[in-house]
Amino acid sequence: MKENYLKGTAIFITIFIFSVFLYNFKDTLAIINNCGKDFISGSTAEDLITSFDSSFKSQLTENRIWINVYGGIQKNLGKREIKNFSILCSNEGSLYTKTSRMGEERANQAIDDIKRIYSKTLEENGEFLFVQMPYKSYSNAAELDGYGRDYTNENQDLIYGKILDSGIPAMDLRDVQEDWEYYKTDHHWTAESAFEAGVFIITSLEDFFELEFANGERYRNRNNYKNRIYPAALFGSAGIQVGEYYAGKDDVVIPVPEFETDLKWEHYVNGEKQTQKEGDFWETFIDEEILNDTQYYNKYNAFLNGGYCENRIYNHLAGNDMKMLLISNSYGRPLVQYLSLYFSETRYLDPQEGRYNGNYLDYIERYNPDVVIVMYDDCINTQ
Amino acid sequence: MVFSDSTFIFVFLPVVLAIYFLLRKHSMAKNLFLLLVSLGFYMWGNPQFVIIMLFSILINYVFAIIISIFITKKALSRLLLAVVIIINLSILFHFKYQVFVSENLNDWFHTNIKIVDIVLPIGISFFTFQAMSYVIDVYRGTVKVQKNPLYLGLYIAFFPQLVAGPIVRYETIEEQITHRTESLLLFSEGMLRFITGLGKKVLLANNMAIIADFVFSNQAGSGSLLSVWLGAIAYTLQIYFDFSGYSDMAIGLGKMFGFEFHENFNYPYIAKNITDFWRRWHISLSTWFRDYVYIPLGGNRCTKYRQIFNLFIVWFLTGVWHGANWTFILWGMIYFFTLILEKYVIKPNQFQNRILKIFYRVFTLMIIIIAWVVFRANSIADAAQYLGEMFGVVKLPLYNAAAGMIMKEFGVFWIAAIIFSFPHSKIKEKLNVHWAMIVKSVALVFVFLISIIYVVNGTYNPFIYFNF
Repeated sequence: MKENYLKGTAIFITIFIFSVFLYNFKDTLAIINNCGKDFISGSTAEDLITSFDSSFKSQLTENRIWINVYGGIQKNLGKREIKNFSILCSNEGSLYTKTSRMGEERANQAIDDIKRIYSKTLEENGEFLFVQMPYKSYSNAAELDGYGRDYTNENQDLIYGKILDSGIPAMDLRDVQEDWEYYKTDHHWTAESAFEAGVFIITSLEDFFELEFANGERYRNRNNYKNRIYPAALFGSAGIQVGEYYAGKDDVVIPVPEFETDLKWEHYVNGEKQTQKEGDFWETFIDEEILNDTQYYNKYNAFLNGGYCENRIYNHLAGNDMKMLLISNSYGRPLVQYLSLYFSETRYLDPQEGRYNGNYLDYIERYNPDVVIVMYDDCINTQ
Repeated sequence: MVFSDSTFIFVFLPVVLAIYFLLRKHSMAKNLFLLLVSLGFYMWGNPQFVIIMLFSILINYVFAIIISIFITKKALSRLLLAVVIIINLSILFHFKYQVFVSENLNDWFHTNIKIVDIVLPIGISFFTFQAMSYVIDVYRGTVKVQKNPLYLGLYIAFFPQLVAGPIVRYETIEEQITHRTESLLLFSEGMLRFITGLGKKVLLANNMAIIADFVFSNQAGSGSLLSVWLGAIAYTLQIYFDFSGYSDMAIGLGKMFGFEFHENFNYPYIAKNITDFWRRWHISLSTWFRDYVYIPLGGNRCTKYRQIFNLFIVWFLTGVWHGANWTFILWGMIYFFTLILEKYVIKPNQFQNRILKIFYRVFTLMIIIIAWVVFRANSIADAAQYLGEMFGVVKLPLYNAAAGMIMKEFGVFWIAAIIFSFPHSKIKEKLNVHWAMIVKSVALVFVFLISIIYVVNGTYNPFIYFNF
């Protein structure tokens, strides 16, 4: 009798293993085929093995059931820590990732780059503003005390302190408002917070440099915007790792101008135009297809059509001929949608690895912006 | 490739099982197939190191044959044995110890030896020792020389025990290579043993690893007394479930293909004393050193001081085998000193008093935990710092938020790990009852499914013994 139970259990497990193998068989053959092509074109054995391994694992996890069940298990265990502390969950269900310490050396390198950009901007007769952005951090979540230190605020304080010491014009968005909103399942701020940040930045530009924006009052008045809401639509970078049962989904709320807008957006990669759109605010900036696609989870890419590299925005109703350059990480995507309303032309570059990595000093020289805003805490290519 | 990996479980294993069982009636074909997939398995990690593996197979194959030819000429066969052992150890030395020795010579004697970056082939300590045991056994006449290089290759390279043991003696599988039979029952036992090992590794070892790494990687002095103890105990549990889990998977896989390997662990943390611990921990390694180092040196059939010397050599080598760092040597010496004390001073096997026996068990566990802290540390200084924190030499608060987090966040895993560190023979006897068998079957399927969920999600999956 005992033997029958042994055999039955083993057979069940064996069938399960073979079922998963057969279910993925066709896709696995495709991966092997691709590896074969890479082999012919000269890839090393190690590269092929790594490629097969990662492709197979990615393909396996395309079926969300694995991640959802995993997340369900963590939720039932009452876990706040997921995957070796790479994701943490607060009492409110907000997911956080840890930021490691930046260190003095890297901070100094970043500051040197920012100083060079500042000097270049002045050289080109432009105005420069460093904006210390807020960032999603669990430092204030008491329930996550003991889960390891998040160095977000410390790193930002380090950079901002050095900026102030350098005498560079700067503002700290963390000071002007405490309750910035972030998506629960993502590391980004919401479009509403990006709108608010835009208002604060424009106000600072007016204060620092006595700039005047013809329709500024209209653009900064929140009542002139209507929310478009996509409930439970966004499943962000952290949520995707823990599954829906654990994290839930975020509503996407986008303040859309009710006043007339006439814009054009172009996206360049390695100097070549990849896409362009034009029309009103919504038509130009928002990728509605992404918002409506129930299988596409990272709705943050709907902002600025996911423009991750070099973005050029033309505003035909700005009422001035001012040019602005925004240098920022992906927090800049929803932000630049609102900032561009104030300027005739806006360029937005993302200096992160694999995005716009050309020389930023050369760019400033060619583009010759009236205003340069740097909202970025790390090294930028200025060499 | 590791066993607790989705590529292994959902590609390698089903393909190998399917083809193997198609070939199972043909002894040569199925063994050749197993050899080829074993070499492929080894290549998956670092393709270039399969050359080392093949060289090891070839050199031991050739020398064993030559030794068997000249077996009656004792001096010559002994010389040949010495040569092949030197070759085996030279390969091991080059890849594993050369950098360590060079760095220390440069530090101590201000020599200018160039330090070359050498990548350690996975499992080199395991298959080198396995190969050496074969040649020594041929010399001793305890096994017949294997004239088929494919069969010897299969013995050395067989993928279940290739990279992390157990260290299998040739005599164990000599007959099984050519005269084994696969059966559904053996396959089933193997599969369920594999699943047990998978659960130990993925669910218990990996979660204990998260705790241990969290505590050990925190800045020195920023923990609490409770958190550092929890970190040490977590590592103690991690290394047990990691290594015994892998051994379970290896034994289980062997059974699936009709091979029966010896057990490698026997609930080491219930050991009555350190001597008993080493009869329960990594049994294949401790018996290897007993049979091929301790006994040839004279074992305990010599003077007391010679015995102590023999034990020193064994424990020095045991430490060195684990890695090229002073911490491993110190770890070995901790056991040397404790064993000497037990053998000649404390003599715990002569205790009559029950309280004393219990106290000594706890003391034994304490020594084991302390030794693991040394084992895990990157340096002796780090080990001293950590131990200082554990024993109050470095002042820490009694408790901190991290300690509370570790207990609360991983509560289920702590409980499971502690429970499964103990044998449950009385419960196991009762599991022959019909309903209890159902519970056991359901539990195994549950463990399998949960383990698979964790594996596919790419959760934290370190393998400690891969460094050896």
